[in-house]
Amino acid sequence: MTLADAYPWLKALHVACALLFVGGVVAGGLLLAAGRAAADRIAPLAPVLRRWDRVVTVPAMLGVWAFGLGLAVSGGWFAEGWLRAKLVLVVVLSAVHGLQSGQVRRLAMGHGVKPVRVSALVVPAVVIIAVLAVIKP
Amino acid sequence: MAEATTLLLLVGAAVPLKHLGDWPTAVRVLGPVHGFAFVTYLWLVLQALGAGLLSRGEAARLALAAFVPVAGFLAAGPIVGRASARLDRGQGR
Repeated sequence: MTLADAYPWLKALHVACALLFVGGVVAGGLLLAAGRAAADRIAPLAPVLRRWDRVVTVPAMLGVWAFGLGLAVSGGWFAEGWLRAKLVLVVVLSAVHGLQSGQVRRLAMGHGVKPVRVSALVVPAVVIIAVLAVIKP
Repeated sequence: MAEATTLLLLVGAAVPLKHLGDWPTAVRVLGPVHGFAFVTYLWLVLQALGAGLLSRGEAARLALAAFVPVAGFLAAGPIVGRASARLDRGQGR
């Protein structure tokens, strides 16, 4: 199988991983927002999200990167501006998830959580990523 | 460690091979591998920052070390040691 043959499979797996990853980031953001408002009631949910993170969201994030880099190599797109912009935004999303994951760990251990202000970037970043990936301006 | 090693291989071997040896394949292979290692490293640093195991200064030093070849090997040891001690004591910032 050549890289060209693998392209539709890489794309399908990349999209599936992206959906699962973004779902995990949104869930983390919501849990932390609720945890700041009512830590005692929300803290018991933190270990559940941590397990989901370990089993689904983190592997999905690694899959997004692995399949995405495979797609970029197969398409020869590394010099394209749209891909560079998309890479920056996916680094931002990965960074937001890293911070959130640490905060969820704090919540699970019974410590207070601080606001992850960069979580506000998630929705615009996802919309811009979708436009860049589909339109390839 | 993986991030620092792939950066060293990229800058120390693959880039010279591309520009001096006219052999771009090494960069084409190592570039994405280093990118993957860089994102994983950044994620781990930010998770430790979010969990309160690293101060902002320590996280910034580790992040900067990712851009300088060899610095990753030197910076990681002492900071990771301090973070591990905090983890053992069950402390967070």
